[in-house]
Amino acid sequence: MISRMLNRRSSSWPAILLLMAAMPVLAHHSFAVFFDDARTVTVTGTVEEFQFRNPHGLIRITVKKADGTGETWKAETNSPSILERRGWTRTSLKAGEVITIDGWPARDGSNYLRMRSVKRADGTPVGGVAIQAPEEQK
Amino acid sequence: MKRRAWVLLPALLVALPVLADTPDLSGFWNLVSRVIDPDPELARFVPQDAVVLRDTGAAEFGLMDFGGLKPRPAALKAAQEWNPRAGLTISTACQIPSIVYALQGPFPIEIYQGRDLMVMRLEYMDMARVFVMGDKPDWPADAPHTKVGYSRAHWEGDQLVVVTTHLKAATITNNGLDHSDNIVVTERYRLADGGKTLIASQLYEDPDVLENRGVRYISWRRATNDHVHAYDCDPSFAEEYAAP
Repeated sequence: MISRMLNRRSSSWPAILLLMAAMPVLAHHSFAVFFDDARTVTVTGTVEEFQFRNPHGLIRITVKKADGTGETWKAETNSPSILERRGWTRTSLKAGEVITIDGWPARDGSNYLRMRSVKRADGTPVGGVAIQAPEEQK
Repeated sequence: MKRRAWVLLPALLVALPVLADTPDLSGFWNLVSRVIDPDPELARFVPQDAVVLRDTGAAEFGLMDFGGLKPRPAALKAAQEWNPRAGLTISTACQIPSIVYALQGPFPIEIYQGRDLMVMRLEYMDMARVFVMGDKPDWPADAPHTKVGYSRAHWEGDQLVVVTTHLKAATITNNGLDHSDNIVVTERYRLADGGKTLIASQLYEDPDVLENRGVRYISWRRATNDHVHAYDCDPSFAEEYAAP
């Protein structure tokens, strides 16, 4: 079943600290301009495509809606070298696999987000670590 | 021949302690992705009127926020007219920023230190900087400008001082404010925490574009068993931002 949550950032300190620990890694284009770091979004769907490329990778999934139809969501990832240091490889995700992606939504309201972490259907974080300390982020 | 060697030996002995006293910055360094406070040892050499840009690591400024830098009218107008999607086309997606933006994130660096030359590799965009050590002549003003520029370096105590000119115009803050070809970047590097941490100040002076000066403080943590990875930029990434 599909879960989709769009949350305002909590004002509680634990939530803020958690968010800071998982701050986005800025890259070629401006994160601040394209993504909203005051909100998070979580989408669960079936992997259609995983591109392991610079300056950003891309995960394309199909999210099943309540009426049974599917809609495409895309998640932009960090660069391959950063993902590799977090335990990812170019074969970390396979087409047909159900995953849950959480991250920061696009400011333009499209089905596009900046990935923070990915979990498999059994809850296992892809790459082995869901969230790392800030100095290990890059 | 033997006699000539004896003549050279005293000079070598004089030079050796100097080399031995020079901090060794060699190695692989992971960026500390949070904004760090100004390092007091480096801040002593930064002009007091230089604004500290607190956008190092993961942090970034939004539109029309330059962290205290004061763009001159033409630069301000260009920033106002800047289209974020202009940098996200097939022909622009893999354009390399200069070391002004590239050093502070988001990737590791690797340093090879020699007596006459130092090399700093940046994982981001496969960039490589060469620091020419000692009292070398300036390049002529019309020498080629590149994204890494021409860097001369020397040691002042335990601090490596690097002055870079001949940088090709590129972004300062990744939001429409570009430096000119005439920017002068002065960096100071020092080891801290018993050699486990590398700290730098990076000072920007660009009167063509800015009414004031700016500085970033950047820090890295030493890591072992790692090296700079390849960065093959794929411009097809821009298709994700193409108009529907």
